[in-house]
Amino acid sequence: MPEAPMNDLALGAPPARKRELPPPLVMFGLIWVGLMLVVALLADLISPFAYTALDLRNRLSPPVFMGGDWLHPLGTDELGRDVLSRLIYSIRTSLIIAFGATIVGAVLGTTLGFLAAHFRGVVENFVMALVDFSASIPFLILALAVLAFFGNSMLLFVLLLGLHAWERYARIARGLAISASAQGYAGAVRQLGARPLRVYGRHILPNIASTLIVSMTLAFPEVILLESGLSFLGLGVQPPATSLGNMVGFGREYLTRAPWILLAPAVVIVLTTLSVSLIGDWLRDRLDPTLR
Amino acid sequence: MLRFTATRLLRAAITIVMVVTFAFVVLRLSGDPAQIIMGADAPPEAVDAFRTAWGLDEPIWVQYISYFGAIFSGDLGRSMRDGREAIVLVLERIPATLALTVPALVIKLALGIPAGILAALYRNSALDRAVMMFAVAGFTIPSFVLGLLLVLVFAVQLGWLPSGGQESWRHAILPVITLGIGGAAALARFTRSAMLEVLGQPYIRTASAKGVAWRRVVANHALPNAAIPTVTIIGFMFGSLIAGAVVVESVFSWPGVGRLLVTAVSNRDLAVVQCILLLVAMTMITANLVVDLLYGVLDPRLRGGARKAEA
Amino acid sequence: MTALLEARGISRSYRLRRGILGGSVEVRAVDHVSLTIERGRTLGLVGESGCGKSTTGRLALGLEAPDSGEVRFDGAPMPSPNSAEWRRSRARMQMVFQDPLGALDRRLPIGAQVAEPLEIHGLDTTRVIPLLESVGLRRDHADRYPHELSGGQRQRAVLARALATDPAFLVCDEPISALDVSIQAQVMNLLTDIQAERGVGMLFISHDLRAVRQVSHRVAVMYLGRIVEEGEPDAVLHRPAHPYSRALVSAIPQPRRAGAKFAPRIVLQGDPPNPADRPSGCAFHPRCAFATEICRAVVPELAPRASDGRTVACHRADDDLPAEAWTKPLERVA
Repeated sequence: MPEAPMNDLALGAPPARKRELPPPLVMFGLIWVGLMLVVALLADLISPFAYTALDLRNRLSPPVFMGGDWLHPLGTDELGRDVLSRLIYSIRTSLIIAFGATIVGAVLGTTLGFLAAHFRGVVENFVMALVDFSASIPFLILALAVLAFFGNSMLLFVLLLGLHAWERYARIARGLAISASAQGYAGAVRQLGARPLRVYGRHILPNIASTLIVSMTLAFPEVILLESGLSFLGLGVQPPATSLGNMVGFGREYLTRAPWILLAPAVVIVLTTLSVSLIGDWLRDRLDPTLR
Repeated sequence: MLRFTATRLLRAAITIVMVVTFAFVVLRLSGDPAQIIMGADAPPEAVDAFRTAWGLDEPIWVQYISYFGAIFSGDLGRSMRDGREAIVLVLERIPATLALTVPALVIKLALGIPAGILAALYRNSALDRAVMMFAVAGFTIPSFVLGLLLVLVFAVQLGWLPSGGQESWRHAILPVITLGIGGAAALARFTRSAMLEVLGQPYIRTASAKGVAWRRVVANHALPNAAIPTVTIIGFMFGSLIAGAVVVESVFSWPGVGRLLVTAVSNRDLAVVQCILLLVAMTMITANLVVDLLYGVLDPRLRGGARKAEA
Repeated sequence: MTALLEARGISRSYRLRRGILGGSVEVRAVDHVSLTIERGRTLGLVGESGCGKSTTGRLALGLEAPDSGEVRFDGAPMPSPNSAEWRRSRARMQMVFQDPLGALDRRLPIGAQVAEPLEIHGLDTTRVIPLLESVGLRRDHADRYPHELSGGQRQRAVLARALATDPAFLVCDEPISALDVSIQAQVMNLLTDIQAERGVGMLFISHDLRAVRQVSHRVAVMYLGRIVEEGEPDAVLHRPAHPYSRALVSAIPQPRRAGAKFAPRIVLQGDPPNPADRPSGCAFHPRCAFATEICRAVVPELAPRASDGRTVACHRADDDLPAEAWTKPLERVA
């Protein structure tokens, strides 16, 4: 597993090195993601209307740049709900789900990877068989099956999306933990008499954190796409709650008459996944070139 | 090679058992099947009779084994919607799905692989940048957005093509393009990086330093080696011929397996969902198996490794 | 008084699996080895790589349990690995590793890592600075990270960490082989000084015979998991009794004095030893110039030989074996 190059390139770098600005595209990504975070955090403050508020006199009114007025800068939908407000709350919902699911996946995968590395034998074989299993079915199908059997709730939905990419973290955590224990620092600490909690928590986890963070950044846009895809199919976030994919899904009915309902969230999805991918690629090149 | 094949077959078999177990566990966890199928207001004696008839009063491991038996004899249950056999419902839809996914696969291969190879050979050229932009766009634009944009432009604005349905071959054009472009972008990105990795290897530099013509270096050394990792992703694409169009079929109201799945999930038509899940898993596992075996053919080191372990 | 560490007939095998379906081969890494280490003394363990030296070290330290045989530390049996009692016992026995950079956590400053055994065993963590100074590091090294130190300094830090709990027993597994030659002597001297000061018993594992001769009070030679010769360093390393020891010793480059006869260098014939495919009888017989029928059939026991009481495992220990016998294989190699 990728141990040596990572350490030499990333961790062994002298701390005094002058920081250079990231390339312009990455800067754009950082700014966009920052903007999305601010929007998500301040949704209640900056949103001009409640996302469920109806304005029946102004149904399907176009956005400003298509001849609409400033009352509804991005226009309204078929029920006269303000698209900008719905967009703001959708950003919040989608980001919460994507963050939650990414963290669930990373925690679950890393834990299982550590368990496999620690106990070896039966536990390891079991975890690796699960990894094989997850890799052998397209995740969308698995997710649809679970949703069919269990119905949908926000919590289940986040947990389910968390299963996406868990096997990547498990592989990474297991491989790095085994190599650290075999001849490296983890084995050395173990033989000092340390409990497993100290070995994994204080030593292995901080050492592999940069690799895990890069993997999370690379998985994050995939989770956003999955969430929006499922919500688009009507199987993800359920009304009255709204998410980006869900907005596109409902906006589709008015594609001919009011394309703005659908275009606004579509643009946000594309720009957000693009930004996070750019940041992820950049981080990977800087922190851990061994990941692909 | 025999042991290599046998090991791969065993792994595939284990994964199949896990998929079936997954379906069984999820089915049992999701509630009492008798209650679900009979409905909540069914009389208790009818529910009991149903239990006995379907073996649901047996110990769980007996049910588990007979579940396996049923599945491998092709009995995948009946749709709760129209009472027809789930497997028949699903098989009916396969041709429609293949009508989209097969041409899309051709587009992916014909577009993605040459684009990736050329981008790697002319690294940092305008062509390379264009391919990378296309690849990034293909990854970040979800298929439902791309599909709807195509509809907006070619169906709504220009009126050249129909926006949905399955009446003629013209109806297939937009969905095939939507599917093909996304996959081609992923394949181009993957081929490019596989190619770049190979081109950085010492044996490539040695070959060109020895004065072998660059064209021959590429044809004889770089391409075969870059093919090895690329086969994996192509295998995955073959595996998703049946299930790869869930979203696109929904966008274009195309009556394939994907749309059946979405409808079945909405209606909680468990038998149909389970049937599709198993079918897709089998296809994927078979595709992975073929890829693994192809690896053995393409990469002699793997065969050698297997033989060395035997010694 | 009982010995500090006593290993009685310990063996350890590993299973090498061949794929999911394939059977497994049993590899005997350590085969019926007995060792004794006295307080304040050093036992040097030499042999080629792959002969089971490191596994013997791990077994002696209790990092792994032997499949058979027994390790007793201070008269008591070694607790089973990873038990609470085993963790407590780590304060009394420690390891010095071959690769100091790998053995240190590169995310923590040296001081924190030296303090770690003290934290684990609930001891006074203010001892870190004196510990660093006792191994020849400076006070300000405590705030440095491993990559900011030189190889020799790192090995000193590893040593400081190993000594933190004031252990009675130290296993040094190839402690100098990753270091520059110029640094090796310093670390060797440090080890002998520490032993003189603290009275630790050591198991010094190395393929470097000169290093072993410098620090050891006794020497054991290992070949394919078994000890083939054991004794005083002077005896074993100057007048080796086992044919394998003779080959090892002859491989040390000697300064040649003017007019002196050039000592013949023995080049071993045959394949290097493969623990997965152990020859019958004496494991060394395929490479030995003196092998006879009995060597191919019967495993020789490690026992004092009749002539002078030297401990050797060789059927021909009491025969007069001329060094010239080795020149034949030399020609064949040429």
